[in-house]
Amino acid sequence: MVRAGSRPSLAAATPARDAWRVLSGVAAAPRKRPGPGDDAVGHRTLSTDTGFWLLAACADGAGSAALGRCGAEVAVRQALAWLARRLKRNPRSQLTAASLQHAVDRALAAEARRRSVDVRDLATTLVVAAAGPESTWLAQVGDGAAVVQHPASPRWHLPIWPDRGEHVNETQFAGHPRSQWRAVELPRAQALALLSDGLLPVAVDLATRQAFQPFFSGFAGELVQREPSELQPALESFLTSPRLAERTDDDVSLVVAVRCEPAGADVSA
Amino acid sequence: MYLHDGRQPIQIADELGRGGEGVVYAVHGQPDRVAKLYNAAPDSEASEKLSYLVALGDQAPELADVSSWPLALLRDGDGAVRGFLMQRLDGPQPLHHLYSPEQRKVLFPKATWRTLVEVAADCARLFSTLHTRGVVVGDVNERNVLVNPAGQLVLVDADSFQVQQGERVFVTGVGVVDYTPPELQGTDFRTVVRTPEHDRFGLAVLLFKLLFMGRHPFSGGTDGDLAAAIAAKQYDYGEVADRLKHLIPLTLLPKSLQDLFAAALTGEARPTPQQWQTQLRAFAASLQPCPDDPLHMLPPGVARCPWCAIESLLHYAYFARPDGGAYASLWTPREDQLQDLRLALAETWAPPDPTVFLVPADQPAAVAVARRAMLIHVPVDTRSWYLSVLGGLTVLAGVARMAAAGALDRVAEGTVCGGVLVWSLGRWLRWRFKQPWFRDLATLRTLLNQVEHAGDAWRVEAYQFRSRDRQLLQRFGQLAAQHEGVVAFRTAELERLTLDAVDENMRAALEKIRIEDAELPPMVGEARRQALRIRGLLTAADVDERQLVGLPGFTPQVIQALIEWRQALEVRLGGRKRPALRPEHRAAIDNNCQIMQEEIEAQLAEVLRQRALASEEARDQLEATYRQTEHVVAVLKLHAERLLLRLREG
Repeated sequence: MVRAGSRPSLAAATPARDAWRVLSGVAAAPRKRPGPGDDAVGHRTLSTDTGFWLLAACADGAGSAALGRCGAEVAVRQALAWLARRLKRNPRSQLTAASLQHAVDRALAAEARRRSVDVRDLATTLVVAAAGPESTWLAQVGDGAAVVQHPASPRWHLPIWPDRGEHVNETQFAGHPRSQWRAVELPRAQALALLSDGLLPVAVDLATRQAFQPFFSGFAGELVQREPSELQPALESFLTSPRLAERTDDDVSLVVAVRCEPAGADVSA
Repeated sequence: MYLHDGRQPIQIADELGRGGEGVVYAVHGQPDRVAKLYNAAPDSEASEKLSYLVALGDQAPELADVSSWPLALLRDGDGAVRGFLMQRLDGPQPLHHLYSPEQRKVLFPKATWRTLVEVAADCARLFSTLHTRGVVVGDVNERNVLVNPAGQLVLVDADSFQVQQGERVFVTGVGVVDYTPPELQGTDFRTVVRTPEHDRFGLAVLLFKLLFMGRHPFSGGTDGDLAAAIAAKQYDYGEVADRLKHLIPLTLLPKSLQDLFAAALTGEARPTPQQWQTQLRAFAASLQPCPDDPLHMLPPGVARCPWCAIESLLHYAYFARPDGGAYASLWTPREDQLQDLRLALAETWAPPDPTVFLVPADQPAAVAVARRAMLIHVPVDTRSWYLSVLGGLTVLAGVARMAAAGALDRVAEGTVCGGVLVWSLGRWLRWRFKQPWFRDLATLRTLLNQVEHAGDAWRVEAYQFRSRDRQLLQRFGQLAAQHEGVVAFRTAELERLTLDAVDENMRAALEKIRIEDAELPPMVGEARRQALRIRGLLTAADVDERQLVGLPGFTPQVIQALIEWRQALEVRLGGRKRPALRPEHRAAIDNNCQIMQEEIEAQLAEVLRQRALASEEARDQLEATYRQTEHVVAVLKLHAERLLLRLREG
């Protein structure tokens, strides 16, 4: 499912089947309200021969105001569909950033042709996670962030530092052929979170480039104990709260996912 | 304890070291010798081997120069062998402390790559000396070669060397899979007779690790199984080093040495220690310090110093700097940890092989007896037979009378009925007599069936265990690949930090500035301007580091000048100024990579634990299955024998 942020459209998150509890929400920046924001998030679960997967994506449209959200939605939908297709066919297939880039860029180009606009109007950042029984694959382009927590330690960490145009001279986007997509494969994750750049000031310590632990462990701790539907109103009010608005003036989106089954349960199965 | 060496009493002093089978002590009054005492007194075979070693050492004194050769036996008051005397080496460290970078930087701070090549050559000399005398090391591994800070080497565990006395071979009995040649992988070390050819493989692995920063030449392929990689001759360091930028390229060695390694690790005719020694000595002599850093040793004719490349790209140094503090990054490739885990994996037991089912010793005998018993003819019971015959005759008599009389009278009727009754009684008695025999035979058949199919049941279980084990091995391999993936990821991330790319917002403006008529930096003369044009780099937007590297005549300085020229243009046209690179950005990447690698190591350890548990469970369960089979075999044999005995008696 893909949802886009049009204030205050924070539809209740449906709990992922069995293995994962997922909470997600999108909110437009205060100055854009009541108009729609440019962020889109999505997630789905997938059952394969090797076990259960959670696929999640989060995008922040960067093109023209009218089309930004459209690009973000297309990117999220295409990324999830691509991951599901690849993993369904072979859960051990080698996922690469280049092939995801190809798939998403092609979808954006097709959408641009359909709407007869320039593909740059649909440009979007994208961060994608595929969490399986044995590995976690993260890929991203641009300034979103993916934060992961592994079974062995309570630490949340940020493997790929968001590309904020500090060193590579521009923010990178899906839809730009020269953009550099980055990916890393990690071991099994216990919990993960995806967020758009709007939340970076509150979720990440920009000086040390580390994830801000209480932010993530707070969400994850609640999610372990309660159903996502119960927590949805709290997330909505957090994302639209004036306190958050004081610290960021951008659209905000967040996906938090926590594994419910005991760690290691399906390793030896 | 009273000890003597055959000539004089020996008094042991401080303990110097402790191993699995004995303790090494200093000796009072003999500073150049140490005593090794076994925890358990050696058996006669081991004592005879030691006596022979001492005798061999007397004939060939050079053996004691290259190894901790037994110089004299130590006997207790009863004359039993308790240990032996050997020469003392000062400050010895196992060889892996020299080749593994982290330990080397602490323990051998003055070592350079040349030191390592020289030590490698010397290591070959030790093997050469032993082989000349017909001695085979057998258990080659990095713990059995000691090196002291002066670079002197000695082989230890000489009492495990394989020697031959006439027709009699004293075998080594142990081994480490990492150093075991393909043809011996999977064999039983306790009985195998080694040859110098086998040692040459182990020697090549040892030399490789010395030269390539402790990396094993067979990285273990996709499933992390070194033993399998060696058996399959997957000597893949060349490709792995191309992929992982922290590894030294194989091509840093001259072609002749590369060929020696290929021949030793995958070929049939492995080079002799003498060949290694000559080649390595010549190579060590040819090494020159890199012009940019005297700490980096290079063979002549190398254009780009790989040590410099690794240090500038990864901020990781393989050798200690005299000032110590130049490389503050906390990150290390953590190869040692991965290697330790791989070693631990090699030491974990695999579940029993499904194709090998151990048959209980007395199964064939039991099956033979049972088969014989199955063929018996159940004896005939004479009483019931007579009764049946009597009954039959009576019936015949009745029928005869009936025929004679021509009609059914009372007497005939009574005779026939009585005959039928007697006949039935006979049949019934016969059935009752045979019934227990049939029952016993049926039981026997069931038991025989169970025994004959016990192997099948065992195999089904063993195959299940093995398939689970394969999954665990596969998982181990996947995690090991992730571990290396993190190193590659870190390299890519560090490269990004320093990557220069055209500011996309300025691209359109830069494209208007043609190189042909632009004012280029003075370093870029007319010839280079032409070279750019020929390469198709026409505007300022084409001045991109990735396009410029490798153009003939474009030195790093020229490329840098061009890039700075373009960056200045970008700022002049209204673009952003590039931020300076801050050390904490690198530290953040290092920190993240370390977290990831530690996480992967924790999961690798978990896989090891699960494998050990699963193998233990498999062994227990299969043992139980075996015991049960043994029991059934015993019951079968007893039953069959009892049946045969009864037949004989009855």
